[in-house]
Amino acid sequence: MARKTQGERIDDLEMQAATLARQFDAYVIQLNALTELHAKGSEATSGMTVKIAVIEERLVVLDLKGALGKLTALEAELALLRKDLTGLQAWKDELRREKEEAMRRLWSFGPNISAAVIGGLISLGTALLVLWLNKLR
Amino acid sequence: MPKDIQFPEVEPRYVFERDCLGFQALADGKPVECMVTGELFMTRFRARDMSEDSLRQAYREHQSEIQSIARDHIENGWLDEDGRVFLTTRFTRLSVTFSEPLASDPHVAAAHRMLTDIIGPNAGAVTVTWTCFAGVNVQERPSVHVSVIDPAISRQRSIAFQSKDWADTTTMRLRLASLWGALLQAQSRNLLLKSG
Repeated sequence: MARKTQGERIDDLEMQAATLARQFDAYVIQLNALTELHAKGSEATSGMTVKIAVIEERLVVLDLKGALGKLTALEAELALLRKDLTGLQAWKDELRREKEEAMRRLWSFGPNISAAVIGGLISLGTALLVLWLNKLR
Repeated sequence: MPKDIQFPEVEPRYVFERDCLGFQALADGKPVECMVTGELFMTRFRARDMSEDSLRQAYREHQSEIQSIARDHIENGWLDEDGRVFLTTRFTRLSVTFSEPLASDPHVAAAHRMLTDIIGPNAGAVTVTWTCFAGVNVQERPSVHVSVIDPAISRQRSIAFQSKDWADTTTMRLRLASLWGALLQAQSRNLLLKSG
């Protein structure tokens, strides 16, 4: 195959230049569209940034106020609970003391009853012994 | 798009500094200058050489065809910054096909207008097809596919539009320009390979 002539090479170059120029045109259109989209996006975002900042500020204030109120209520509730707990503890101690006292009182009768039972048994034994001895005579 | 395009019966003028023949058109009464390069006269309309007489003769012989091409350019809005139409050897020969429901769709018409604007007047032979694809299920809206084809190199590039895409014209222009850019890239690669 013969080598390309200068004229053919120039034709090729012309075609390439034309195609590149058209590609360049297409890129310019894309770039313009992207710039437009970017501008729209920026505009929307800038408005949003201000709005978000305001909302954030409001939320912080609202939250702080709300949180403070809740904290005070919780503190009051906690104090009441602590008071109740102290009362409950005292009642529990008292109950335990009463129980111990009752047990102690119960056990204080123990030796007397034992002594009475043993005394009774000894008396019964003695009476039976005397009776048996009399029978033997 | 101008509704009424006429070509007054006057002799074309020879533009020496551009090797062109210029004639006038009236688009809705507004004058539009149309220039046909000598190169185009030689390659397409069988002018013997670049002399004024040869160009005038070729113009007389192919007047209706030249005016038809010029009309096509005016209708597509392919005018330069000075409001002139330039017909070169690379003038755009657009072949368009719309699948049945799309022919009367205003969104598709607007998008096609955008695409022809992007393609411009010096793209050579280009085929554009607009096809409608129904969704898989009944609730799904049909999508519109557009393909641009360069018949010379048998390359095709396509994109699809969903119904929600029609609203944002900037994004649509961007996508159509990307589509056209992709075909031009294929053309460019093909030329590089051909040039060795």
